[in-house]
Amino acid sequence: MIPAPEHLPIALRAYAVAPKARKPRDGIGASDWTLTFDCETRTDAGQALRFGAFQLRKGETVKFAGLFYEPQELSAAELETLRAYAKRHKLVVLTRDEFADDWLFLRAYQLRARIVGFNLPFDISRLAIDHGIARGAMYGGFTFAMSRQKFWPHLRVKHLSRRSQIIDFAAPRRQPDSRGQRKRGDKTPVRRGYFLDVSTLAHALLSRGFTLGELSRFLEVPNPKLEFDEFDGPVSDAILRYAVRDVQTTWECYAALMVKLEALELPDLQPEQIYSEASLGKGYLRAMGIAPWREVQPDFPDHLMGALMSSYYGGRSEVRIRREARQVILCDFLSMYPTVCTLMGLWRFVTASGMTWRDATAETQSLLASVTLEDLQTPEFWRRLPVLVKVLPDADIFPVRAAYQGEQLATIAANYLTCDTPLWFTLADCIASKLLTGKAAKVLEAVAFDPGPMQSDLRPVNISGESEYRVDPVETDFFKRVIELRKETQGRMNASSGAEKAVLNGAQHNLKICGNSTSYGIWLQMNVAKRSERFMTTVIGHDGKAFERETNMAEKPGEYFHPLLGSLITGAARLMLAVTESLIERQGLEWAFCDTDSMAIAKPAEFVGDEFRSRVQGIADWFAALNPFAFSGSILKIEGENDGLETGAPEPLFCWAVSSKRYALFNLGSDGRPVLRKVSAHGLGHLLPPYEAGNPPAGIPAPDDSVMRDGVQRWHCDLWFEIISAGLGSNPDMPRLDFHPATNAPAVSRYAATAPELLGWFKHHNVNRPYPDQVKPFGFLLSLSAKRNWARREIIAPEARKGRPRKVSSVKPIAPFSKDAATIAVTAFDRITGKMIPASELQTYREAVAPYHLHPESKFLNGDYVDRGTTNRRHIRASAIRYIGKEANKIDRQQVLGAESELDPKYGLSDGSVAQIREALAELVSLVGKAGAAKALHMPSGQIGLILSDRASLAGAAAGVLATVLPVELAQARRAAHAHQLEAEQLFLAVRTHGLRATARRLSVDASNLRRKIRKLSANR
Amino acid sequence: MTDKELAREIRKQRRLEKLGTNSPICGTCGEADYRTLEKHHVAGRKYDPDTVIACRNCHRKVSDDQKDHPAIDANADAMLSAIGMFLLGLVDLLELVIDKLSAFGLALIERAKLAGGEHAGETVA
Repeated sequence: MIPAPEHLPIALRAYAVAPKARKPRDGIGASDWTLTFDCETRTDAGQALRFGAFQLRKGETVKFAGLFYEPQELSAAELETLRAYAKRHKLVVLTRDEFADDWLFLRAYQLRARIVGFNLPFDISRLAIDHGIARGAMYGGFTFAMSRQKFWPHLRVKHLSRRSQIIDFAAPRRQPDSRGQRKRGDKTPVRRGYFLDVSTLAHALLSRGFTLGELSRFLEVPNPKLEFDEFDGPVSDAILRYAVRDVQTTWECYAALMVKLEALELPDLQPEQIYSEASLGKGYLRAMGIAPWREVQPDFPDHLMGALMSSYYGGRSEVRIRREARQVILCDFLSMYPTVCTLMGLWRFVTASGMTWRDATAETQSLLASVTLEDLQTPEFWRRLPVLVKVLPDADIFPVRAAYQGEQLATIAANYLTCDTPLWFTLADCIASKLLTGKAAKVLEAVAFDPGPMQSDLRPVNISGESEYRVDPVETDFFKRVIELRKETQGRMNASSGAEKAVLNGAQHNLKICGNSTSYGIWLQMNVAKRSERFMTTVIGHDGKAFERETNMAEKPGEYFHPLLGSLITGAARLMLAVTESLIERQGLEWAFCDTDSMAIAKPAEFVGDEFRSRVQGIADWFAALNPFAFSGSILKIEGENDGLETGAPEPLFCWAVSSKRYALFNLGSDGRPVLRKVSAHGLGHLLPPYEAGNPPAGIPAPDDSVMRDGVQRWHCDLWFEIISAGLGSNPDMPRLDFHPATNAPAVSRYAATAPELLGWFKHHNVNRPYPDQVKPFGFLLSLSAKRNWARREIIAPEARKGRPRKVSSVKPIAPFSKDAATIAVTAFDRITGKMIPASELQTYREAVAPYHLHPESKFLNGDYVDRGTTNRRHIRASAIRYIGKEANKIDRQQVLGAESELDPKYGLSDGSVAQIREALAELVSLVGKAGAAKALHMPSGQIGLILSDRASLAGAAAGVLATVLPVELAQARRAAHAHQLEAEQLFLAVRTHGLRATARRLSVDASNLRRKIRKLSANR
Repeated sequence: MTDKELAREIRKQRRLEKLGTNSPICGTCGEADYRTLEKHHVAGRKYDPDTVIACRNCHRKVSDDQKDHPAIDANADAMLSAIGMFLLGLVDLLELVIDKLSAFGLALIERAKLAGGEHAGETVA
């Protein structure tokens, strides 16, 4: 049954018009010189430089190696130790100033050396003597003064994500061009330098994060990182050996990664330009000679661009059975995005010189009217999906992006949607809606896209540089070929052993990166740059209309931006899940959760024996017909977690799901206790572990090694163990949270001061401190939370006050970096006021995770804190449309420091919605008066007047409140007005029938008053 | 590394940076010593910014040839003039290449004769 509609503004992606694509300038690349360095710092909050080590190499050969030190930070004895060590090991010894002037600039800068380090921003910041806010293209980053000599340039660092940043030299102060050059307009390009962070390169090439120690062991370099933890002691031979080894290890890791990179045979890809796996994907496309779509079709019409962007939604991640232990079988689609790319034949669009479009309204209407589940079992059908459909949603199930239940950030859920304004969706979404609701959405218009002629100059590429992994973009579907090659390589790898197995493992890993990096993210890559000043930008909405908006966020599409592919890929993935959902329903089964490409199918209570498994197998087998690859089998796989840990045979697997991406899978041991198989760290990963794996709590069994992956730590497993144990017991709402003494310590998250505004949090701390003691850019900071009850006490004003209540902002505790819980507890302060916060007011781990197991699934009904069982789809009636830019911008920062909606570009309400809201507000005012409207909407009547007279813009919180509350209040006011009118009609009838005086007597009112009332009512009729 | 060596290396890297490549080579004669290499405007500096790398000798020759190109009328269409001058500049370069290729071909034939004689001698012996 479709629930009653709720009025809620929905969010659509809009396209901020970007300048035409320009070919990136081909850089010359670094010379064969390399400067590798590493800094050792104090362990206090300032983390000031003590000393460091470096190597200058030409090619592989070390030309110079040495130590540098900060004279103010080392005692005479320490300096003596350092000099003696250097003499024994033939190292040069330099002060920090000498290192910066003679080695960083005179040599590395002038020789165009590649400057290599592990976590370079931190080391650069330690080496700097001053810092400021970067300007121009690097706004949002820092600029560092490295030398006291003014002719050397500053260094600039802009943080992009947890693992990537842009680092370059600023322009030097001197005039770089001769007078003749200036006359000719011949400008010398600024030497930006070549900075390579080994951590970034490793993450891109190996698709996981590493510490230097982990990386050195993973790459099996000859000199792995040494173990050392007495950083706060005096300078000794041990710490010097450790520092010198660190540089050697960094170099060896760099060299090993460069071998891997060169093996990929992507000559156009400079290592400094690799920020993530996506950079490799783009490198492959470039290697095949594929020109970006924005270059080959620069005149694509704006109205279609707006439609395409508005039809984009991310993957589905939902919980259907909440906070109930249910037996499930976890199923996962084989490489979901490359698979749907292959099925839809999207490679034709990638290699085409643009695309064409045609009206397909009639055929789409007829297709939607007749489509059945069986149609979707034919691969040919999926090639008809590159269609965009304009529909008038009327209780159809579509992806709906909204801030459910007043949440700060909008999330996406497949919900019932009703909207008075036509919206664009992919054909895949329309078919999914038909499958789930049984009725076709009302199609107003449909546009089918076809690829243009194939680009010329395409050339084959050898993936991993191996001729056996050759892919010809003209002859074959790249997505398909890569998956087939990987499958084949995995097969060979499983049958091999020793060195051959390692080689094949590397090859299949490269194929995986290649497949993943080219099949989704790069097509919708949008780079957001914050500007120092607000500016007007032209935005195109879903209706194709362009409008101007003021913003300080500049969105720039990535090199291979192609919104059609972005929309189609995720749309088809959602269709796959919708098909699975339909099959589950057909088989009489249920599902517990889904997450982009996987679904946990739940066993209904009435099923016994092998019936459940055989039905799930039937669902998996259904997808075998859709396998587009050369190898056989279904594209829906029953995952390994469904088999027992010891036996390897199928064993009942249970699920405890809380909300999207928060779930745990477990078996039941012989003692009835849970045996964890897979747990999610979502919502916990931002907290530093309260205790290490070596200090586990008593009474909780150690999880299997296979559970501790993808960032899952021991304490996550222990928390899930307690949540599930409570769930299986008699008190599911009260899991034991004091399972370890460390859970009573303040809950701490670690983040670096990666942006000027984050460093600004320390302005109270830094004031009156000498530079070395100040918290500096990229220094680590600790984020904590205040106890909730303490915050509440502040909010309630102690004495009665007149006028508007005082606005009390919540307390935001932070602390300078420390590893010691006791130090953290006494150094925490409020980042807004700078006031110290006592340890007793800080939230402990126990308190921080207390609501974790109750986290609401707000996007659905029956998903509130204490709700359990099946969640239900909401029915959203779109009360307004607001436009947004890239979602989850700076996601790493938002995950650790909490959601900050101002980090995401926003373009406000659509013009239609603004007009609609104004109209509705005017009607409400006419029905209940301005004061009544103000009371109902909880906003000042003056503001209502300003909005109605168009003197105040509808933006921010006011727009959200109006879009959500106004339709409800208006409906109520209409009902009240209608009831009032009915009463008046009855009164008129009574007066006509019985006369004025008799009616007044009956009603026990004064006849004169009744006459006046009737006159007034008559005038209003 | 002495100061002199460092200064020389800095000069080298600056030159390579100007030339826009880490492995420059004269497109006409194959000279690869960075000290002798320069950038040559194919159409002439006044007409088009596109350059190729040429050694000083070849650069002098093609620059001299450029002096024989027709003068451009100030009121003429700039784009067409630039294309025309570019094509003429390209011809100058190709002429040099043709000379080189022809010399190279003849040298190979000469070497082949000598090599054939040696092999014949070996056979006789």
